Amino acid sequence: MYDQKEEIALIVICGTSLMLLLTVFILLFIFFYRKKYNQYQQEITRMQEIYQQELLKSQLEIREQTLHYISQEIHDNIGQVLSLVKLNLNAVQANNQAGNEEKIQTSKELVGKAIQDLRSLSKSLNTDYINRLKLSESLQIELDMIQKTGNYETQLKITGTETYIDPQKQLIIFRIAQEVFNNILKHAQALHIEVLLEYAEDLFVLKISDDGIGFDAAENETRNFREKGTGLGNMFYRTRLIGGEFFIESKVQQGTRILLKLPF
Amino acid sequence: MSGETSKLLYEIYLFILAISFSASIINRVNLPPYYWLFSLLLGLSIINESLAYYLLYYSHSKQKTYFLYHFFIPVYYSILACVYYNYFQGLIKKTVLYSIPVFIGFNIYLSIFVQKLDVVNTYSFMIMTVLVMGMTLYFFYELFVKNQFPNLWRVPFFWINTGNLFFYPGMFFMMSFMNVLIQDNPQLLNILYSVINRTLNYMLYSLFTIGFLCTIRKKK
Repeated sequence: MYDQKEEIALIVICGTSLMLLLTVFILLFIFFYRKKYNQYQQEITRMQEIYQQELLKSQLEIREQTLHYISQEIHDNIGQVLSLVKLNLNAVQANNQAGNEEKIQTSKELVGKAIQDLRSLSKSLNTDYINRLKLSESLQIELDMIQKTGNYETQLKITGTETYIDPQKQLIIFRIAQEVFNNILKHAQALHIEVLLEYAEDLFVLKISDDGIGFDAAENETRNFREKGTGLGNMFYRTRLIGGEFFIESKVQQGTRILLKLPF
Repeated sequence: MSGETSKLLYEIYLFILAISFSASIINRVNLPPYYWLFSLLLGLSIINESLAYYLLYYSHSKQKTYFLYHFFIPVYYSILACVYYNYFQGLIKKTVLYSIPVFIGFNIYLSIFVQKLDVVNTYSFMIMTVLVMGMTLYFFYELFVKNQFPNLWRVPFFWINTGNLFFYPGMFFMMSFMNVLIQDNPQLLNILYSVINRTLNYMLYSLFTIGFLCTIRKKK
């Protein structure tokens, strides 16, 4: 009888210990699960805030770039045309009917051109156009502006069917492309700029290539490509924010090619 | 422990099992589609346990219910493994699937050569315990790593695995000395089995019931 009681006690102790251990396991599991989940939620909130900040920053940069372009256009183009009109009109003489008619005709044509330029400028003044246009259309406008300088040949190609990209993501992609164009204009000494938009079933790819002087991308990558704050670093950072990947391929004297891949 | 008490405990167990089965049916719409396997599992459990109850308390061949579990354990494991198979992704999914024929093969071998139909198939149960515990612990590991549910209380499989986590180690512990006790001290076994096994059964199927009902939404 004593043996039986002892055995029961032993079994009860072992069983209770086992149950206690399992209970502790479950409680600890729930505690750490909640803790991890809360941390994860905080991280998501932080990332969303960063994303919104970057989005706002991109919008401001696009606006700044547009205003810069407009001021340049007014100064270099419309201002010149109107000065020419003024010169023409100043040269009008009371006793030279035939000459006056020609000058007035030329002035009319010049004013017409200025009006046309102003019209296209007024469209650019509305910086929200990026949100309303397709990515290919807004990139085409950028390329047209570059082409207009007369120093570059530009080309835009699309493969696949242009599909919907989230407007916020599209804005960031556009801003990255704008930054790439700026870099080409400032540093590349290129003659041709080619933009390729590839729309696959589950992936969007933006390729921008130029035939400029290029640089040693491999060497630069180890230094500061990915550091946020530098121009290229920003492109890497922003692409990552929208869930994409950013690549640069370049060699000295062999042009540069950038790739932005974004899964749908 | 008197026969009447042990019979009452058995009846409570059958009642809880029936509630669990009903819960799996009633809340079907709010549960993952493959949860019909649980309804099947619980339905078969009710049939098996009712048969055992009848044999134990109303037939002439009392105490001879061991043979039932030689057939029921492989069926139970197969269905439970199918549930995990539906839940898991990747390599573990295949492993769970392959474990079914392996376990059935082992069970047949053990029932024919090692623990025949007239003894409790403790080895089969212990192998099943190890396999189910492996799947249960993997579930908890995956749940922790993926960390995707805001509220664990509303995850049916969390409750079901919590049930398994308590039931199987407890039963492993019990089964490991069961056949020895049957020979040496059947009275002690009767007490322990009635208390430990029934408590674990109540806990398992109560947690299953909570799991089936935790997804019910309040009507607005």
